[in-house]
Amino acid sequence: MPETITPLSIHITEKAAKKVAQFAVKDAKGEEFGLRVGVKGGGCSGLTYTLSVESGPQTDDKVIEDQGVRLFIPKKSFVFLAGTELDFSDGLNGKGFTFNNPNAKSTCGCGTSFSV
Amino acid sequence: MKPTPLYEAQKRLGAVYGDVAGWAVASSFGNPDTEHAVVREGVGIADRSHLGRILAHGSDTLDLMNRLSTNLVDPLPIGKGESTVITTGKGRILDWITMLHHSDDVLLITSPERTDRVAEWIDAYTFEENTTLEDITPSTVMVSLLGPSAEPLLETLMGISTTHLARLDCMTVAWHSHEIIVARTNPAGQRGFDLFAPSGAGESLWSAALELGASPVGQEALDALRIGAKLPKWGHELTEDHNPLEAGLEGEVSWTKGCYTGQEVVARLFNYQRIQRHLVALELPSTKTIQPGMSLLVEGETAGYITSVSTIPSNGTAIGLASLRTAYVELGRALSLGEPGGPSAHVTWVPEFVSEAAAS
Repeated sequence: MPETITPLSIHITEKAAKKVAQFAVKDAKGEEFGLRVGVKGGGCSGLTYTLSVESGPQTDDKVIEDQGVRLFIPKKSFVFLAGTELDFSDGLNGKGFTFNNPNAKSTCGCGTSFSV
Repeated sequence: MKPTPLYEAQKRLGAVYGDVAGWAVASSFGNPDTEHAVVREGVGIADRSHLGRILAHGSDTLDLMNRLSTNLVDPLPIGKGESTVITTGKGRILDWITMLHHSDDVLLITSPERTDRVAEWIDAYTFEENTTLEDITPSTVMVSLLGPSAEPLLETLMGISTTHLARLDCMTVAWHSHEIIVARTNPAGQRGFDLFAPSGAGESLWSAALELGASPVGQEALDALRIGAKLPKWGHELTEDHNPLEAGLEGEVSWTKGCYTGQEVVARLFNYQRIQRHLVALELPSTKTIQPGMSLLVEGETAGYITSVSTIPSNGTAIGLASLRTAYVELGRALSLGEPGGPSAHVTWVPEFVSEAAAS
C-alpha cells in the first residue's frame, strides 16, 4: 500500500467558511475577500495564530481556496500551518476559530499558542 | 582571543587579560582589592565591550519583545529602559537582557556568550513585524562608570545633567562629534552608568574619563561586586537548564501583562509553588579550591551546587552564589562543600519572594 500523503495545504471546515463569509459581509470587505491566516511569535508556547478577514491578499501571500473561501497565507507562516484544518466552535463555551495543526508538538492550556 | 577596541589602552595600564566568550577581557589591573574599593568608594571605569549589542530597528520591536520575554516592555517610552528575560517555550532562560529605548531604535544588551543566540531567536519569531536587527558589537564600545562618584564625573565629562535619570533611563549625547548613548545602570550592583560609543571614539572617551579621576577596574573586582549584589550571570546562575524563578529573577517577570513565550510554565511554577531550586548567597571559607560546580551537601545528601565564588576583597572569607534545592533554602543553613564533612558554608541570603512565601 502506498503511504497516504496529506497534501501540504490548509483546509477550512464548512462551518468556519460560513463564519468567515459572515464577517466579510459585516465588515464590507468586498467580493475579493479572504481569511488571512498566519502565525506570530509569542503566546505561551512560542507561536500564536493570527486571523483577519481582508479584502485581498498581500504580495507573496499564498492563496488557497477551500469551501468557497479564499485563505491568504503569509509566506513565512505557511511552513508552520501546512496541513492545518481551521474549524469554528460556537455557543457559550465555544472557542471561536480553532486550529487542528499537525505541526504543533504542544499547545498551551487555552489552545491559542503552540510550539513546533 | 579577540581584542576589544580598548585592548591597547588597558594594556598600557597593566591589564591582565582573561578569556570571556572569546574576548580578551581585563581580569584585573594588578590589584583587584583596590579596584573593588574604588567602585565602592570612588569611581571605577570598566571596558565591557565584550557584552553583545544588538540594535533593533522598526516600529514593532517593543511589541515583539513583549511577546518573547518576561517583563513588561511595551510601552517603553523613548528615554526609558527595561531588563527582561527571554524565555523558551518551556520557560527556560535564553538570556537576561537589557533594552534601552534611546531613540527610534532599541538597543538590546546581551550576555557576551548569547549575542548570536538572541539574534537568531528573535529573527526566528519575526514574521511580519517591522523589526530588523543589527549586531553593532564589533563597531561600538561599551564602557561603564561605577561608584558613588560616577555621576559627577560623567556630568563633567559629557557636560550634561544626569540627576533626572532613573534606573535604566537613557539619553543620546553628542560628544566631540560622536553620538554616545548614556544609560543609568547597575552592572555590578553599584550605582553607575553605561556608555555606548562608536569604536573610533573608545580610546578618547576612556582617556578623558581617566583624566577626570576614574580608575580602571577589571572583571575579578566586578564579579565580586556582582556576587555581593546577588546578580546572576550567564553560564553561572543563568543557563538554558533553569527558569527565571530559579535564578532569582522573579522581579523581572510581569504577572499581569499576559502571554509571552514560556508564560504558562513560569506562571504555573510560581502559583503552585513548584519551583525546584533557588538562587542563594553563601559565606564560604576563603580558599582558591572552591570553584563553581562544586556540590553542597546536607547530611550527605546533595542540596545544590556553587554557581559563583569570589575571594575579593581578601579578608579571610569568600562570598558565593549557589543553586539550592527548595527544601534546603533557609537563611543560616549550614552546608558541607564537596563531600560530607567538607568545609562549611552558610546561606546568608535568599530571594525576597522566597522568604515572603515561607513566612506566609
